[in-house]
Amino acid sequence: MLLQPKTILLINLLNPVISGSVSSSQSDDEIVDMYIATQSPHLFDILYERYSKKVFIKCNSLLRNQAKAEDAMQEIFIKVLLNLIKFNKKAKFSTWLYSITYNYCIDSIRKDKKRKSVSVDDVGELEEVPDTIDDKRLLETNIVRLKAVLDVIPVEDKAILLMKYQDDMSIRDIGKILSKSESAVKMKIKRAKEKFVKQYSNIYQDAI
Amino acid sequence: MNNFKELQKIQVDKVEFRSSRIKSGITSSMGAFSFVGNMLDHFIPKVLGIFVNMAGGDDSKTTIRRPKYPNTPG
Repeated sequence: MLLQPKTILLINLLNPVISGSVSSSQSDDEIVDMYIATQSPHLFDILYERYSKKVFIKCNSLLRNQAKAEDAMQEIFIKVLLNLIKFNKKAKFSTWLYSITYNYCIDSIRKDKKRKSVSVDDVGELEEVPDTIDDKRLLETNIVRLKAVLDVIPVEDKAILLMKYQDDMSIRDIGKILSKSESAVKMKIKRAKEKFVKQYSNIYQDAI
Repeated sequence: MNNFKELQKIQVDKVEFRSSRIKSGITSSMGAFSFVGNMLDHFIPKVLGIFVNMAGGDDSKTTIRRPKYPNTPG
């Protein structure tokens, strides 16, 4: 009996699942493909083990509340599983997962705040302004001080700095998450860096 | 050198949360979604069939007639 190419492809794809040999060395994309084909809970476990801690840290540091962060994490993973079929692999799985995480947390913060005053968010297109704070200085900030300053700057500034410097997201990806144009994102990054530097010198009476 | 990434590594090593509770919450929610999905899959065609019959139509054309026993003519 001759097998159709599609059947052979599916058998090859499912072979590790059938033989129980899905290993931690397999890429996220491979595991996502296998999960879509089989809905195997074991495959979800692998993705969960890989990313749950990082997702939780992001939720906890943005929402600043352990219980809220745990609830958020549950919602985020449900969202991921329900939308996995839409994941088009244009970006890495981790980038896609983190963008859902940031989106969820930022939405949740916005709902909590219901800010009345006009903020940077409400400003439309912005002119590009040169960024005078060197990234290298920011990236080399002492770890203890870095955490302390990130904990006191506004959450949206913290989120944007984490997206850019911790998760290496592109300006375009950040723009999609925040529903902003690329120039608005650049302006927000610049302002977040300025606030970071200002808070740093307030706390430590020193320049970074 | 990127201390943002170093900070994340340190936090990942130290972090504590109710992982198993969250995981079981996710699994049970997905189970519930799947159950509702299956119910809809099962009942929507029948409900539509009832409406078609009520309107005087015949939904038998869409019903696949299966033989009583396998490999026998219906």
